[in-house]
Amino acid sequence: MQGYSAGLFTPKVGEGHISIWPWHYSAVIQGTWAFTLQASALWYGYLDNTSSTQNDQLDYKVYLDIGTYSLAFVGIRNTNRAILTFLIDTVSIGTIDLYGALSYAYLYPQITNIAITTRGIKTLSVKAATRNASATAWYTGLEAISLYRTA
Amino acid sequence: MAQGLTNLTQTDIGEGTILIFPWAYSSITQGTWALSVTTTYIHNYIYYNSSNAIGDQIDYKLILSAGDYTIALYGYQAATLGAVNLSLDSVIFGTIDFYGAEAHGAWNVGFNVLTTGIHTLSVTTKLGHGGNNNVFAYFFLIRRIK
Repeated sequence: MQGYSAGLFTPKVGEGHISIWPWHYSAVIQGTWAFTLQASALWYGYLDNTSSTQNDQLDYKVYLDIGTYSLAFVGIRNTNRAILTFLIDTVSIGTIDLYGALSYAYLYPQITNIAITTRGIKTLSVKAATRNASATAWYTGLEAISLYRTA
Repeated sequence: MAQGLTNLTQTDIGEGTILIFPWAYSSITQGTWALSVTTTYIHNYIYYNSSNAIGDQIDYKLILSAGDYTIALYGYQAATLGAVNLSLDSVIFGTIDFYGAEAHGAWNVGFNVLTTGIHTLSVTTKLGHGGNNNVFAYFFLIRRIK
């Protein structure tokens, strides 16, 4: 028998290397987000939650196959910045603490070994869910997000 | 009579155009690679091997279907810069020399992918003019051309 049936082949979907400019979001879940000019940032500016409120959140749609992924992030680092929680379909895949000495283009350590167990369109969320005990506000400061398959 | 699609063995995968920010690597095989904001460069930054040594290498994982591609390395040319070998799964397919009069632009190299799947693109510094080993990059763009 011919035709499309289970087991005939394994459909492959998704993208292996996804580069996201943060202002290309699919939804603003919470907060007011605006592009801010800054001569010392990538692209001469960054996307910030001017609302500076806990749980400010942006969503991005990504198309992923089953596999293992890493996430790279460049953004602002300062004492008034939150801890970013990255989620896929509402499940946390890791956090990045933006608190620290001021840098307008800080390359943070990658989040690695992100396991995707089902293929399809996923929602990648960036959320200011928590903050360092010493942080003075809930600002973020997003410049570049990369999600890419490693295995 | 059977209905539906016939003769299906494998769907095609991969991407036709891939933008790679250079810091989104899968591994650093050698050297120290750094992001630096510099207002004199396109996009306000450079990414480079601050270790400035021959053999400095950074690797990227890509999902590619079998086919013909072009990789464009957007970067910087200067009399202080070196050269790189580009390789796919450890096989060198091209060399770019960044030595020359100061210029910003794209250097294009073609390559062929024989098997569909996950591949490793490597950028490895080699001895350039005047003993220079630094290379600067803004981003890579891979395009399928056939």
